[in-house]
Amino acid sequence: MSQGTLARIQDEFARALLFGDEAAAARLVDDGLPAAARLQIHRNHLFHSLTQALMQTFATVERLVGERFFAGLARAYIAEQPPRSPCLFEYGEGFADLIARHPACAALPYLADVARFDFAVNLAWNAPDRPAIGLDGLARLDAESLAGARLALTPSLSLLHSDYPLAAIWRANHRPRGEEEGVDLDAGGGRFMIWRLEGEAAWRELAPADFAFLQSLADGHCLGEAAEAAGASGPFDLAAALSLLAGQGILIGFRNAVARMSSVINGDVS
Amino acid sequence: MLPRAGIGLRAVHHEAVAETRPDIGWFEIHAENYLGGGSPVQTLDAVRRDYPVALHGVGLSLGSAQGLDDGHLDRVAALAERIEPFLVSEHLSWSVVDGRYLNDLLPLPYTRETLDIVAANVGRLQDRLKRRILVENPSTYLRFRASEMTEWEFLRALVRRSGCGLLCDVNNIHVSACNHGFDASAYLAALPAEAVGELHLAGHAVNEADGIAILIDDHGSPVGDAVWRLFDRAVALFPSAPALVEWDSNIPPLERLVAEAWEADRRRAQTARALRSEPVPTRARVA
Repeated sequence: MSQGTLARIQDEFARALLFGDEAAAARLVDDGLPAAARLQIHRNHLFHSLTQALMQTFATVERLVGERFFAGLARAYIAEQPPRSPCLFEYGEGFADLIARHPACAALPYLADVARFDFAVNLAWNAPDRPAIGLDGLARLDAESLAGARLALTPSLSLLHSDYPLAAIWRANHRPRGEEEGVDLDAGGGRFMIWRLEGEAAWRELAPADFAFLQSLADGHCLGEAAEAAGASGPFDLAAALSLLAGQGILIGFRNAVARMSSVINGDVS
Repeated sequence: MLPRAGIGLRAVHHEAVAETRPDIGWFEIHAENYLGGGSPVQTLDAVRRDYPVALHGVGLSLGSAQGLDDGHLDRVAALAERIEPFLVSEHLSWSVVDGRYLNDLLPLPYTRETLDIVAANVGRLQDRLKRRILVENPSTYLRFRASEMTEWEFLRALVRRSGCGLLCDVNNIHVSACNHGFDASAYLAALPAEAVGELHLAGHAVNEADGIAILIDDHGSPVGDAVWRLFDRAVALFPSAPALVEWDSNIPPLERLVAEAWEADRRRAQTARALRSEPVPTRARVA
């Protein structure tokens, strides 16, 4: 099917706003204010409004580098990766990766992880609500089923392993202006889980084994495999790890359990 | 009874709304701000228990030549099902192409092709939500050479074709009228009165570029005098349409926004009194 006029106009318009492409201007009535200046109104709005949204999500990054530097990073990111969703709280997933490879940030090696932490906190605030299950949800399974169970985790959860003291950096930069604290960047990194607890963003530093366990579950491995991965990373107590997850509202059920059940009911053989 | 005015619910006011339960008619929410979970959604549920809520989309992109985004449509439909809004509205604009969202309500050329596309998208949204939606006139800063009709002619045709209603934003009419040099009152009078189901009010900014003043719909200040006067006319033409005050940048304390809604109530009552006391012209007097 050939592309209609409106589709062509919208394609040109998007290129005008994102990249300053000039083709769209020829489509506009040129009276009073020139067409290019009229397009610029929309271009300014696009970059300004999305920069504001990123500034809100990546507040720690903005505090560290200042508004002007941040705006430069935001501009590069917006042109390269415009939002894929109309919900602004979902925007910014690739911002940390852009920071990691942006030449202007080369002297700030911790900045990308700070951005990852900010995005995780944002996700913790805004992720969809899913009712948690307690340990009794697991207690009904026999030992063999338990080892093979694939646990589903709350969508508000992020796991982040960094060489830098992210929690200290975050805390220091969320104090009132003028009361910032110094942070020793060489204090050592950490393994963090960031999630929503009772309606608010929360984080916790994890031991290597607990982190490996959670990472393995998040990757979709079954409980037995996750416990093995955990044991390989350090001393690990499965019962303690499970009760931590259940107690913090991290467990929300089983992966594919519904799909498997319905295939049994429908008599499908896979 | 005259319809009370409402205000747009914004995140910075969530706490103040929960604590003070302001005396206003209703709240309107931007659908796209409540499609996640956590505290925004909890606040919305609490507001919904105490007030009527209208659902106002800003990201469905009714003017997209590529059609509506299925995933987004599903999420908006689920939200509508949960909060049972008394009105649902979107804009006569577009915001996405090839899955890239441009975070703006972008203008459309008013052609027969665009009419086909918007009518199909509106039809699809109405089918999915199983209800009539209201389509809002945009603020525009540019016009397309390809346009074959005026915006009000386009909206009239869209109402006929899709059965949608209209959200008449009087600030947007004022902004566009100043930017393009048409008569705002004539625009109002040309709208099909029976289709208008809601009114919007907001402030705008006046920018100067190359010595030419251009009005920008930034929702960042009190409603201007010219817009209040246009509102008085709109209330006379569309007496049953409830009004809403929007404020989205430089957002003031909640009380200030509530006072703006009360001013809309006061002006509506004043217009209603004036209309009642006006002598009805009779044939004899005209002759």
